[in-house]
Amino acid sequence: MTKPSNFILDTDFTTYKNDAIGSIVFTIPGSISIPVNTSYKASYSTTLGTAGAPSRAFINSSASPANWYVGQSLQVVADGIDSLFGPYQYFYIIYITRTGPNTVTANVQIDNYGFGSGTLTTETTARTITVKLATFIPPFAS
Amino acid sequence: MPADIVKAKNFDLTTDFPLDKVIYLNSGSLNIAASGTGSATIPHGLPFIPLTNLIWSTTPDFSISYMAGSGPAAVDPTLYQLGIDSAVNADATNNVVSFTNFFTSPVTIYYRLYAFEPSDSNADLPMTAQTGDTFTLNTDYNYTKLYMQGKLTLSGSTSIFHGLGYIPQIEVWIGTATTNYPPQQFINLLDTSSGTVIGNVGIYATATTLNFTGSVFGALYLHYKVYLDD
Repeated sequence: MTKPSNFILDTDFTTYKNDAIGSIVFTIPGSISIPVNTSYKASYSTTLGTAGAPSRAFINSSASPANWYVGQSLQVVADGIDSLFGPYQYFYIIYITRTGPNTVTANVQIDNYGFGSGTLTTETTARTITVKLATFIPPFAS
Repeated sequence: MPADIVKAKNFDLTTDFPLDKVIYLNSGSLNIAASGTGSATIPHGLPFIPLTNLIWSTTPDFSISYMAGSGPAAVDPTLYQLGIDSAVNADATNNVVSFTNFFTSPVTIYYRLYAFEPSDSNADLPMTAQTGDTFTLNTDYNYTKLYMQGKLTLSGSTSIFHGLGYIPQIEVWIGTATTNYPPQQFINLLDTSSGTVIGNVGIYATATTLNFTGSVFGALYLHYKVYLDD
């Protein structure tokens, strides 16, 4: 039994080691036209890190360039136009998946599943999305 | 002499800043029915509510693995973007992992849990690694350099100053009176619209601060770790 908080370096406890860092940058175009009951979807991937590695992610939008959101997903509220109702606030989501042992994928999805809504035209400003990634050596025996 | 942050950041291993220590490890598997849910309640035996993370896979070799809050894409992402939803929470006695399978076929999920000690604890703990023929310190690796950590009581919007001048690696958990959650498994919200929709709930970093806004699941505390590593 040992007090882990008392040690700067300690070999009694498994350590958390850096593996790799990387980023995914993509643009969500402005004024996307999304017919009702459809979605806009896009995916962007990068090769990063050790297979099975734990990872952390920050997600940043040029709409709020100083802020880097912690986590695997970010939902954004934005101003669009509904062809039937006019100005319309809609949501879109950016989320992270792993699509291969070393492949990290950032996905964006904008749904237009409104009740009786018309075609959604998204915000006029294109947004640059940056996903900052880090992976870690798995703290488990292989 | 005070630690030189810039130089320390560039070392693989530095004695100016603590290594982060994994104080709990566990693993297991669950069979989840098609369109079903499953969970495991695992006693952790620790004298505090740990800061637990979850990594999981659909294969035992973890070749493709996901953190809590991430997963494979759904076949039809109309309602859910992910085909399998995952979560972990820790209370005073147990780590609880849970999964929801949105796929139409059963799946076996392999999970691994690892946890850190909260900053307000100073407990005697069983070792998770041993010296001898297994060295846990090795200069082949770049070790995390823990710059600051703490536990804050939340009251609306909260900011913590780190002042590093860049976006450092940050690990956070939100806590209620009885449970700690890794908030990565929840959805952060950024409200860029001209009107107020449902507020702006989020955990985000700037080059100088770590910020919590809004109210997430009755959160009372924010446990945070800021590393020099970027």
